[in-house]
Amino acid sequence: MLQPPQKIQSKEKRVKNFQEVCQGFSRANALGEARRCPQCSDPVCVRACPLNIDIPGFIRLLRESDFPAALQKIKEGNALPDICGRVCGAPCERACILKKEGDPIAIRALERYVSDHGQALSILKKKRVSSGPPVAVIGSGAAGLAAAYYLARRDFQVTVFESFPFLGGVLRYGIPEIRLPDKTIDMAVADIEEEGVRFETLSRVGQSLTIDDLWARGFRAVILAVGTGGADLKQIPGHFLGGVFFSEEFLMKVNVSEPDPALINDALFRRCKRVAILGAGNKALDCARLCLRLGKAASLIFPQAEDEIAVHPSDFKNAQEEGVTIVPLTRPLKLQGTADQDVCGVLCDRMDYADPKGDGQWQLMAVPDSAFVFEADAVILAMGHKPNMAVFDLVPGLTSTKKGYLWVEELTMKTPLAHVYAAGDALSGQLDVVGAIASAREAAAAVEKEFLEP
Amino acid sequence: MHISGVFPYNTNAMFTIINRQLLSKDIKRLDIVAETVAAKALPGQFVIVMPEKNAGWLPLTIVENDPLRGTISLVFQERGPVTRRLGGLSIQESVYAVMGPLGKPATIKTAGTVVCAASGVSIASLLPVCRALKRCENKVIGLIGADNKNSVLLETQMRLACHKLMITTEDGTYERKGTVVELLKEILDQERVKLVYVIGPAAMMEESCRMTRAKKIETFIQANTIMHCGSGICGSCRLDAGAKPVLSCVDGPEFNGHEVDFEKLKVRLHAHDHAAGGLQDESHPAGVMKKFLSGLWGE
Repeated sequence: MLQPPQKIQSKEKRVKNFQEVCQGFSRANALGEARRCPQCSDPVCVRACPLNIDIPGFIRLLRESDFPAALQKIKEGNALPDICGRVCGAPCERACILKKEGDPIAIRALERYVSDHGQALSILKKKRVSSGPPVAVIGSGAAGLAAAYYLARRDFQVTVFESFPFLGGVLRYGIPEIRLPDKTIDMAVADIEEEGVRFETLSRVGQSLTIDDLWARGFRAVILAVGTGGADLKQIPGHFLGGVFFSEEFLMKVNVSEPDPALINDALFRRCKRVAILGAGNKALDCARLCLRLGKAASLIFPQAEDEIAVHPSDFKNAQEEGVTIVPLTRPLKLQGTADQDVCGVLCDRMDYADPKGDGQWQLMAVPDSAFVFEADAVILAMGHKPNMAVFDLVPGLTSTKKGYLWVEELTMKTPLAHVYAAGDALSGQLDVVGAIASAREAAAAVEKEFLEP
Repeated sequence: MHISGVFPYNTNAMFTIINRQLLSKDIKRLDIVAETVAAKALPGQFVIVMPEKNAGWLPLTIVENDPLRGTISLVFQERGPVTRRLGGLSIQESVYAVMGPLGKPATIKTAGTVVCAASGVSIASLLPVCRALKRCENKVIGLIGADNKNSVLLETQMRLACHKLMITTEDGTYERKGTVVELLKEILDQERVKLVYVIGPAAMMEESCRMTRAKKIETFIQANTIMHCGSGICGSCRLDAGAKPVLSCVDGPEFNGHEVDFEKLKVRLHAHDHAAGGLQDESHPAGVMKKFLSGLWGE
């Protein structure tokens, strides 16, 4: 059986605006999809979800059209259902048993429907007043917001510190409006504020706010949720050429720094026609879709096969409909420049599956003598990221893992500094949103444990 | 994209402009109330200023910070759309956000005779370094250059911050005629210089570093690559120093001048020019406005 369709902007219309592409299920389709769920007695989707949300449980409530109760069911596990309902990688859908026969249950879209329609009327909401020990959360990305939510629910007085003037971290500057509108993030933040959480922007840990300042202000524990974000400066030779951007830079400019996306075009690449995006993740796909909206021809170049890339199938389908050219099985080797040091192409070679040892283990390998130049006026690099090492300079006393991420004790999420915990992408590189929330929940539980056991 | 209003959560942070001064033809100085930044800033650090909401970000060196008054001073040249917006704000208006202090502070140590050289608007970035070096009991010789007499910046402040200040102008209308590099060459021959600090255009810093490398004098520069986020995320301000890629915003802005790859630095400084089609002004509403006004008053 197939999934019912979601409301979606037509492809002619959506390549001309920067608004959210997918509008979610209609009521009839959401209820129809909920009825399709087999309600397994041993649900694999719950085991696949890092947050172990009771998925059959909320779908059952959704069938009964009890949206507020369904939302409460999700919120038992997930602090940010409206954000996860839009950008989660949906490991639950990959695990769904119906996937073997046809389409899996559209759990992500159902979660989104519940969070859009299950909100209590704002007049009924009451702001929680907490009286527990004060705790500081550094960073207001997915992990920071989630940690604040879980702690506030356990009666801690939580303050979230953010270095930028806006809240949401990478959700705001890293994910474009077409997938996650700013309004959704604002609503999630407002929800968390209801729980009694305070926010302070423009406070950069280690510079305008040191850990000692936090102790002086009376905080009894700190959770570092600083994220990992950092452009990988070593991903390809020739990155210093003119017309080459890192995906982080491009997304940040489009998402937060200019009022009108058309001005980005002027500032970055007015003269360019063809943009090559190197990479295969969500970041790369987002960049390609934004380039289309700026009137460029966008090509996505990556070494994997088309069905191996790690994006949600619906996003990939939407991108292809909009006209992103997909160039799979092509490995970028080097950026080529003109005499004026501006980029003019990408030197690539073809990849294919081969069985070099003849033992039946097929693997991706470069095809010999297949190098060619892919011509492009501008290149966006989205192949990887590196840990942001700045945090080790700013907060002395932290230790790093071998790969350069933040080291914490397993299970207790403790850093070497006393009463300082860590959560989110900073620990292990790019997780999914849902992974970051799961680690925030662990850190919040660890903080709670510290105060329960005197 | 419109950020639909979560700021200000930090209600006591109103970044009011309390003083505004025209230093030269298009160079302005603003004093802004920013208590946290003023209390924490060290010489050589910078802030990111957002003149209005969603109106672009601008990295600027903290020229002066007064922890008692809670103010910082910024000096900038009106060139692109963002600097124009900032320059257009008047006293008692406030800027949307001041993020900082960012970057690593300058290396300040007691070395003996120190030469600090800068030209144009970079003199403003040099001033806090000169002050700190003088406070550290160095003999500070300042060399500053400008196009003509009218565009010499912060002369009084620099005279107070240095033991000896020498000024050159390109057209010879004030003090000596020539460039800062020529002046630096003379000084290096005359004095036993232990440390050189150069801020300015890439070509000037490269030439200065070549001279000091020959004489084995420790040299620091400040890299002014195009910066965006200021916190090591976006990679826009990348350059090569010590044969490895670094970011000017978190690893700098100060670098050992003998380690910097100036060829790549020059490429990065003009990285957006070709793709965006030269200077951004003409395409921008602010640029159109200037044309319109210049037609009126025959500027």
